[in-house]
This record gives sequence, structure tokens and C-alpha cells, in this order.
Amino acid sequence: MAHGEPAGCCGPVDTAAPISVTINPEARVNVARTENRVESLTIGDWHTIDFPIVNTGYVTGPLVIEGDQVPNVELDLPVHELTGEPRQEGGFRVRFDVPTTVDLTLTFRALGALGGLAIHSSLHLILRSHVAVHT
Amino acid sequence: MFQPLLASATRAVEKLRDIGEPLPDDLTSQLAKLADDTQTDAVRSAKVEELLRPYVLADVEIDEQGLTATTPGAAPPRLVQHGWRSFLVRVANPHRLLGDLSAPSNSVLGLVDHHSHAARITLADTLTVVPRIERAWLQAKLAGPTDVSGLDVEYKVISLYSRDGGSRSGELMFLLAVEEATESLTRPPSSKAWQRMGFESRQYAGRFDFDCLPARDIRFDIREPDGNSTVAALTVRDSQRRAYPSKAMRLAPDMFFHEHVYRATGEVITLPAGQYEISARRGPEYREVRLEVDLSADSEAVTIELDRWADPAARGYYSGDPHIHAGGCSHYSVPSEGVTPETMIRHVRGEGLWMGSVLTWGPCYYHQKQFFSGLSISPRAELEYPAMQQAQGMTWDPQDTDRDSQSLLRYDLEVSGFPSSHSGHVILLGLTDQDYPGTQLIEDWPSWNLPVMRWGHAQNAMVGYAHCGLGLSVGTDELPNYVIPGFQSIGSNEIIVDVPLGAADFQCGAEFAPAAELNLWYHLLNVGYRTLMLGETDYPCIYDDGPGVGRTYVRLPEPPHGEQALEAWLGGLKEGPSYFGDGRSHVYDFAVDGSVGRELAVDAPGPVKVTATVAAWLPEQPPAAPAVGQPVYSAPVGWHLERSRIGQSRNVLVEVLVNGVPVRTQELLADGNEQEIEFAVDLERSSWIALRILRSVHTQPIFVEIAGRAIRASRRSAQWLHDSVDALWKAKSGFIRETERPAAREAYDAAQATYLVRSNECEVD
Repeated sequence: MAHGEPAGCCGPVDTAAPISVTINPEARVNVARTENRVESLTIGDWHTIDFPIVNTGYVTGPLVIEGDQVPNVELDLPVHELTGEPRQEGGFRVRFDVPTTVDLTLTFRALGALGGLAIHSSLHLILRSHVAVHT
Repeated sequence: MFQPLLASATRAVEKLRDIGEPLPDDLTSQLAKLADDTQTDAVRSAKVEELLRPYVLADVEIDEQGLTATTPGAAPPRLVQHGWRSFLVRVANPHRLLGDLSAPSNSVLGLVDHHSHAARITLADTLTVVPRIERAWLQAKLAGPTDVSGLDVEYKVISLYSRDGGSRSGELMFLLAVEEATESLTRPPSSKAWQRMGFESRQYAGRFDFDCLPARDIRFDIREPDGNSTVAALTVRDSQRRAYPSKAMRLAPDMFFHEHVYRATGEVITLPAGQYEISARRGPEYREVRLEVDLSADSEAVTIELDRWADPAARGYYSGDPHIHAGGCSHYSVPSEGVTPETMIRHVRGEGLWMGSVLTWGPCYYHQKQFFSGLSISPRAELEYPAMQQAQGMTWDPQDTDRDSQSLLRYDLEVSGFPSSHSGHVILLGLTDQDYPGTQLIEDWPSWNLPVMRWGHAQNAMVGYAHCGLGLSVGTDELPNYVIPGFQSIGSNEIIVDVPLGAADFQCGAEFAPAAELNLWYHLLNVGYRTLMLGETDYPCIYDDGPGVGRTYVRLPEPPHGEQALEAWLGGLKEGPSYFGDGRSHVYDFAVDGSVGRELAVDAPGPVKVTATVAAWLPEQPPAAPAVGQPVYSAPVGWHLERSRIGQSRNVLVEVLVNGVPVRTQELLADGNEQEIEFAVDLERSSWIALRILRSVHTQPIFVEIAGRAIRASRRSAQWLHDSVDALWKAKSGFIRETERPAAREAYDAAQATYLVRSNECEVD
């Protein structure tokens, strides 16, 4: 079990996911990479990047993920409905067209809370892709 | 790989900007243009490297073992004595290793917390560390992120501190803690990296001939217009727009998340000779003063005369911010610590606030509660760790000023991070006991707010809700509106249950969109409640700028002073005139038929005369649009008089409200002068009347009861409140402990029943 960064508040997050989202008691959204890396992904397939949502702010309502368009990669960034429970599991999907490496910047916003005010609500994530080898 | 290279380069350039050492303006735009350029990746990558090369201090090459070799880059190695300078570092990683990069220097290890830029939180024992800092003439830190991502080339930012002036030769080396598949239980990756380096006898460090600009303490002679000494917020930038002290490393009371620092008359900032732009301000009652200063090697002092445009205290109105914090949020990445009252008072004084309520809350509760005394205090603005300050070259001694006693702190409580916080964050002002009866831990507290509110009232505290607009936005700017919100966050939530039960006194705002903040308040007022509204900042959680971004002005017969200052201020708030907002506009002596009292009885419907003295100040021209990525004004989404400007004019609109609806308006020239305004308003029934300049100032209402009839101004408001209780229960009841839920349901039912009664008593929709 790896520990994510404290994300600006509230201690490390137990997770095997590559990123963690924390909403602190003041409803600020923090997102951080953990020590877990995303392995290289096969092209042509949708892959899910999981993340836990540790919600110490009892925030409910939509959590949106925003990301700039990056060549050769499709992003499926679903809106998550925050339940206010201390922990939820979330995820988004990526699909590569070609073998490449990209640097994604993703911003997480809880629309019912502080929205874009939170200063720690973005992170960058390096993702790599390769051609699947069929044996 | 052009895209990740460009992303890394852009991030590094933005980091330099954020820590106050911006590269030339056109560099960012040239980088941005490359994203859409149609040339090949190789050509565009070369262009990125060419653009950044002049600013690269160190080239770091990582070999297949993760060992580094550093060579000087093209950036001139110019440092500043007793200050920090930041540069780009180019990291070439042809073997695409993953890991964490650090820049150890001169045995000063583990001093800097890379997340908070604050030194002291990682210092378990300053007695050991201070001499080490003093011995080291050069310190280095990477301004995160520090991860090496496996890219062929990426850019990082390094900040360097020089203890000395003049020419010094020094080395920089970098350490890559390589990620490994199997973690050692005894040696972390950084220790292994050190070990690996020890096995090899090669030169890892690059040697630099640093030119360190000598610096000296420049004393600031800051004066109020009447000549009094005082504390102000100073922003100091050199001709390259670099901030002093550097934001790359600041020690309390200087905060890395501020552009400015707070200095009292006679205190110093260490500066090398050169040209500077210095701006000074003491909260919104002052116009910013800007000086162009050319400091020679023998300059000793800079004189600054503050420019006050409004003096509410001279009119009997005393400012307060009921919601500031000394720990958590932006302060440090270890929120259990935070800063001391001696630092907080400096910030409050520097914003010209009379009262600052420092609220202890969840993450810092157990640490910060030691400062609670149940009394107002005005401590000397001592340094928290003088030995650390001196080791970092900060030799200034705190100075007392003529205005020190005009600012006070009161430690109180925000119920944030507690079991009931889902129902909105309760602020308790004027507590004498901060521990809920029968509890040892935060987790033991009630899981809904009403018992906490009643406990506060039992201590004669005033109780209400923080950041009221959170979760109450319904997608319209209309005021009042009748859309039921989702209560999806931590704003004014349970207040709609607590007010009818006599358990809540106020809500706080002036932070977010007015419709989200004021709508609920207007509905409560429309059915006859006397709920107050206050301006707050939630510093440094919602706004980092400083205390008093949102503020409240209370009219008092004499200045608040002594240990009972807060009680006096709250007493005025309960009974007398007050207004709240961003402090850029002011409403004095708001009166109905000549009475400034909160309650007015008249015999019959008919006209009443509304009068006030109003002052607002805007610069003659609107400000230039902010740079890309920078917030608009100081308040990204909230209250700011600039948002009240009518077109390109210097006018703003003063509105008279009757039961939440504007019935008279008048344009006001926002030139800072006080102007008398007068309106004739017809009242058909018992009503509340208030003045506002939307997004800048709002008075408390004056309640006018006609022929003894209670205010029942809107059946729709009563219905909105009734239906909102259902929405609230739906959103929150699941978070209330089962053992407490029946009592909560009973309270919710009682509130709804009250709203139904009041609805039936309303004369109009």
C-alpha cells in the first residue's frame, strides 16, 4: 500500500492509485500524485486511471475534471457525484492513437464548493503508450 | 517528444513567475505559440530549448545509474546577499529514469519544506540547525515539483541563497533518488543515491563563480498621514519584477503566499543596491502608494507616507474580520502548526483592522487551542524564531508603533473538521470555553449544529455560519430568487433550522457571488427574523491576500479596547448600525426618518426618508486586464468595488432595498469623497430597509414596523425556507448520527412549522 502526498492537508491517503483527490474540511480540493506510477498503456484501448476521493469536507454535488486537449490522446473525464462520504473511488479514462508520451494537466473542481479557487487542485501526469504485443 | 517538453518548460516558467522571479513577458507567449506551430516536433523542441537556454543556471545530466553530473549553464550566476535568487535547471535524462531530484548543499540538509517553502516546520531542533545555516554561505532548494518523470529533457527551478556579498566560488550538485521496484525497509531511495555516489570517485558537482550582490538592511519609515508610526503591507520589486524578500523562501511573519510583507515603521527589508518599485497599503481604506526608488550602496532608509482615503473609525465605525486562521490551508503543509498570535497581530495591523477573530479549527485545533484565552489581546509583533531569522540574514528587530493598540485579536472557534461540519461551518465568537462539554476529541462533538449553537449561546457568544455562499449557488444572479439550492457544501446550511429556533445570530460572507450569499439572508429577513450578516475573509483558506478582504464595520461609542474588546464590538453589532463588504465603499449613519436604530416603529403606511453618507473609491480608470493565469483583482470571484463600476465610468450604483428588492437607486461618483444621499421610500407594510452597492457594501437592515405589525413581507420567502429545510434534510441527514437524528428531525420539523405559520401571516406573495 503506497501513500500519496498529504495533498496540502489531512495526511497521506492509502491507495494503490497513481493520484489521490482530497477535499479538506474547508472544502478545498487538492489533487496529488502518489508514489504509484501509471504503467505504459496500449494504444487503441480505453484505460481507466483510478483515484480515491477522500472527502473530509462533507462536500456533495458534482466533481468535474478539466484537461487541455493533447495531441494523440483522448480523454474521458466523467463528472463524479460527490456523496459527502469520507471516501469514494473515482476514475477517468484515456485512449492513445499512437505510441507516445504526454504530459497531462488535470484540474479537479467541486462545483458545489470552492470551484476554481483551490490552489492545489491541478496536477500534471506523465502518461506513456505503446503498441500491444500479441503472442 | 515535444508536448511533454513544452509542458515542463511552461510549468518551470510559471513557477518562476509564482515565486516572484518572472522571466520576460514575451517568453511565455512565445512558448504558447509553439504549441500551435506546424513545424516538426524536433524543430519546435529545439526552439523551446533555445528560448530557455539564457535562463538555465545548471545543466544536469543523469547517467544510467542515476548519478548526476552538473555543469554551469548560460545564466549568469548572480546571487544576492541575504536573499534568494531562482533559476532554471535543465535535466537531461537519456536513460529515462524515474525518481526525485534534490539539490543538497553544504550539509544543510532537510531544512526546507518543499511544499510550504517554510523552513521551520522541518526543524526539530533549531539549536542544532541554526549554526549549520550560519556556517553555510550557500543554500539551495528546488522549487517543486521535484520529480524526474522519465522524459529525455525536463526543466526544474532552483532557488539559491547567499549569506555573503561579493565574489564567491561554490558548487551545486544534484541527487536523484531513483524509484526502485523493491523498496528498502532501511534505506530510502535518497540514502541509496548517496551511497551510490560514494562508491564512485567522480565529480558530481558543477563549480560556479557566483557574483553575490551585497545587500544591506533598508529601513522603512512608514507614516500615517498624521505622522504616526504604523504597520503596512509593502510590496518590493526590482527592475526585473523580482519580489523581496524572495517568495522562494520566507519565514514567518513573511508568508510565501503573499506578494507583500508586513513591516512596521523602522523595520527593515534586506536589499541590494538597485532600482525598485515599492508599493505600500494598509487595507482598503488606503490608496496604494507607489514609489520608484533608486537605492545606492549607502542608502539606509525609505520614507513612505500612507494615503488614507477613508477613516471609518473617525465616524465611529470600527472594522473587524470575524474569520481568520493562524493554521491550516495556505499557511503550511503541516496544518497542525501554523503561526503564533505575534505573527497574526502583525497581519491584522498591516491591514488596518481593529478586530481579528482567529478561529481555531479542525486540522490545527489541538495545537492552536493553546492560544485561546477568552480575552482580546494585542501582543507585541515579535518574531517567532529570531535565531532562525538571524541565520537567514534577517536581522531586523520588531518595532512598536503608535497604532499597535488599535488592533486586537480574539481566539475563538470555527466548527470545521468536526462531526457537524457537513451542516455548515459554525463560527462561535466570544467563547469563554472552547471545549464542548463531555468531549475529549473533535470526533466526540455533536454531529449536527444546533447543540453547538446552543452551547455557544449559553456562554453569551454570538454564533453563526461561515462562508455562507458555499453550496448555495443556483445558477442565477437574481436577487431574491426562489430556486432551492442543493446545500452541497459547507455554507449557510442548518441556519434555516437554527434561526427559527433562536439559535443562530448571523451568517458571514462578502466572499462569493452575492446571489449565493444574500438570497437566504433576504428570505429570513422577509419573514421577520433579525439575522445579521458580516463580511469575512476566511484567511488564508478562501483568500490568501491578508485579513480583511471581507470585513465588517460596527458603530461604537468608543474604540474597542482591552480584554473585552470583542464583547464591545459584538454588542455594537447586535444593537447598533453596521455594514459589511470589501472596505472599498462605506455607508455611514444610514437612517430611516433620521433614526439610525435597528428598529423603527411608525404609525401608518406611507413615505419614509432614507439617508446616509456614502463614500467609495475607485481609480479613475479601470485596471488593465490581468496577465494570463493571474486572478482578476484580489478577489477572484467575490466582492470587489471594481466589479461595481458602471461601464468605463467612475460611478457605482447605490441601491435602496425594501424587503430585498431595489426600490430606489442613485449613481455615486467613486472619488473617495463622502456624499450625502437621500431617498423617499413608500412603505405599504412593515418592512426591512437596507442600502447596498452590490459586490462592495451592504448595511444591516433597519426594521420598520408599522402600527405594531411584525414583518411578514413575503409568502414566497416563507415557502422557500420551508422547502429548503426538506432539501437540507435530504442532503445532510445521512451524516447525522443515528442517536442524534430524531432530535434533529424534531428541530427540522419545528423550523418548518414556524415557516408555515409565518407564511400564513404574510400579507403578500
